[in-house]
Amino acid sequence: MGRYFLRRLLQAVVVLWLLTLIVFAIARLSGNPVDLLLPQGAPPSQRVALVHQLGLDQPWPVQYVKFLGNALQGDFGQSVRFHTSAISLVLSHVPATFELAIAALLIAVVLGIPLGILAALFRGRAVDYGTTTVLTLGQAMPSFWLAILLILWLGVDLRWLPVGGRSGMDSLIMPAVTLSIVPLVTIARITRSSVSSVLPQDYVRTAEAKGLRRHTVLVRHVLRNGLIPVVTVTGIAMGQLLSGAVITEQIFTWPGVGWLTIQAIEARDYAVVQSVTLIVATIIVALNLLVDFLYFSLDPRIRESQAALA
Amino acid sequence: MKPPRLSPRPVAVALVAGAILAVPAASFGRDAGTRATANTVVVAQSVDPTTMDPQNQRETTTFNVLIHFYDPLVLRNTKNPKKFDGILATKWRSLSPTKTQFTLRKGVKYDDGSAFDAANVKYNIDRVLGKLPGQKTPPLINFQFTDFKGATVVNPTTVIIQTKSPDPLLLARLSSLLMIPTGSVTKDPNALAAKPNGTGPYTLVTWDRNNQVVMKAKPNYFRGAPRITNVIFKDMPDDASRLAALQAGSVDLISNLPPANVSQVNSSGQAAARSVPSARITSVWLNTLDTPQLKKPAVRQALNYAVDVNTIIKKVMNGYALRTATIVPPYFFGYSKSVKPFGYNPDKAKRLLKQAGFPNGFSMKMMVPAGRYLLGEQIAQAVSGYLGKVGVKMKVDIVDFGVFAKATQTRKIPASFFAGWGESFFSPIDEAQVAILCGTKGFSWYCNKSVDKLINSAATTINQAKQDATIVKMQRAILKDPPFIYLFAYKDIYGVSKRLNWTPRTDETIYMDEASLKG
Repeated sequence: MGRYFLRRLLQAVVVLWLLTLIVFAIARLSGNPVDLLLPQGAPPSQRVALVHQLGLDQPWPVQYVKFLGNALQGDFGQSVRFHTSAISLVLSHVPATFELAIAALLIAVVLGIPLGILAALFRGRAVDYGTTTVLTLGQAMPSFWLAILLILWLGVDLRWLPVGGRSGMDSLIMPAVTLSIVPLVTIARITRSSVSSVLPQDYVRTAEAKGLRRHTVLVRHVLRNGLIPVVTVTGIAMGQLLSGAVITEQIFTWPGVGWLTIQAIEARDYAVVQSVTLIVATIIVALNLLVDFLYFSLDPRIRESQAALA
Repeated sequence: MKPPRLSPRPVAVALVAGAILAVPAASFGRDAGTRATANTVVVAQSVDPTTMDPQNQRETTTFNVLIHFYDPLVLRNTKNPKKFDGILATKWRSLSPTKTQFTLRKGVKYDDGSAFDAANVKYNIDRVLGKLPGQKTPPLINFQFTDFKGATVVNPTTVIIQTKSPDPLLLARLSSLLMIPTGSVTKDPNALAAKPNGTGPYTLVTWDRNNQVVMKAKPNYFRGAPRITNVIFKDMPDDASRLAALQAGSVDLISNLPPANVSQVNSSGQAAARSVPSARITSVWLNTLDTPQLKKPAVRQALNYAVDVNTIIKKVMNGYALRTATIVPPYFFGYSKSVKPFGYNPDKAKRLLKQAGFPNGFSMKMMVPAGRYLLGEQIAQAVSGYLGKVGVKMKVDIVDFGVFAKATQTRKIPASFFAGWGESFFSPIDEAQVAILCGTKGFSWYCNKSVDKLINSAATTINQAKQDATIVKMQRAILKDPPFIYLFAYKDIYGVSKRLNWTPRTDETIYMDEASLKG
């Protein structure tokens, strides 16, 4: 068991290290931030001085070793665009992204699961066709289009909700609804197919036959088995949402990680791009690690297979 | 086998309950709300300020915020951009072609109580030149001050600013230099970048990065308390969102309104579009040094005759642009009605191409940075279409701005590129020095020694009438031997709430100290 944990931990460290290499290289392949920081008419001497000041005149391996050394001590460098510590800049945007992600996921789960169950219960009938048609439309609709429609309808015409910004509970509604569509559709579809496959099972019919109340059968026997894949999908959706919703954040002027990332990429702000990627990657790697450890303790089959390997 | 029939009622109930509960349940801690209210004006810009250090930035959007916290010595007059109003300076006079003496306003203080005086001006000049003790590199704004030599304190209210050579753009340069308190660089550079400490009409309330800057008026501002008490600069990157916010009444002023949306704003009843000629001049740069066909002036003249610029202004820009004969619109120094633009004459273009040895035209490429200049891609396509009609097949390469910047910095450009030159000095001299003067290091792919002489002469002539005459001569020379396909000056379009009294400035600055609310 100890060896299993140690191996998974080492794998996680290797993944993160490889990631630092990839992010470092890709950021620099996109070009030099000084090209964008200075105007076209700036004298070459100022350009040379700025390149030197930012340490970009050093060979890549030297820059990488410095970056890695500082990063291990929690220093991800200064943002060249925002003139502040990159890590604190990214961390200051994390709460907004968390808030939006959790709100969107909550909408997706609270609406997606019942919709999926409803479609499964009425499989092959009008309710099922209606639900799946709406879900297909939702999946096909680009989020920026839905966002603009919501803004024009609820923000401009009815003036019920603010059109953008993070300025009160009401400002969360439209971005959260926009962002929830994709995970909602996924969760509803998975729920529908999973519950549909559980409904004809013998144990469900047995439960019905022994006289259990219908909703007891549904909750205890159908959903308990049918929702396992839904939990997995929800976890994946959470990871995706936490990495920042670029388009939604931009349209609704939501000051989250996604919007910051776009600005950083446009300005070739290496420090911020590296910080965002590594923070998000660390969160995802840590979540995966946690899930692995939980599986290990919950599922005897994994324990046995690991024991066999050992 | 049919599945058992289970009651859908609990599911339907859960669905409705979920819809009602989901959103409110998801809300937790957040910042204070902001809306356009009675004594608050909300301005929406496409980007957040990058810093609060006014000398370490070069973006108009950042300057627009910082001009409310910090003052310059002089500021361009709103109605006549060729004139300057004293802000921290009350008067100025030329002592010699390279020395100008400024008399400073008395009793002005920074937010922290420290005094503004001549020594403080010297501190600021030293900083932008990178001459402060222990200063390793100058701030970003340095590129505008490379011709400055230094400042000499005469007494607490008098300072002399010296340049290396006569500089007719001295006041224009100083209008972008916002004064910071003495010692602020060495004291705490991070504080300088994060929290303004200026003499300006407003003080910072909060700065929520990538969201908004909230400021409030100083009742004791030395030029009189601003009429608008609270100003919020909101960061709204998306064009459609800015427009929607204006129509919804949640913002009062938006910049960069696309020409196609003007009628939508005007018919909203909430706001109106206001436009002002811009100091950004568009042209197609021609690589006359490396492209064999473009080495001949006749070919470059032909390209100018081939493009119907007036129709492009009408159809692509919806009329929101101003035809320029060269790079000098009417509100720039050196403008003359006598300098006429190339007319649209495709027959003459064909004749000139034939005379130059290209009766069947030729092929060339034009690089355009994506999303950088208003409708830049469409303008480039239109130019390409017109050139095609005279046999010049122009392929338009739309590239990311980073790629464009790298290509121009490393001088690896194709035969041409489209760009808009923002000329905050209201004079063509700066653009001419960087983009027309012979050189292989700057932004110029052109060389004409006689044009160089005229540019150098204009750049060191202080007498305005003489300088204007020299610029006119330069314009005539670059019509005969054009470095560009000349197009037009943009017009800046703003969406302005009907409750706001505000006049757009030609220099793109949004300055709320000049605004008021109606009623």
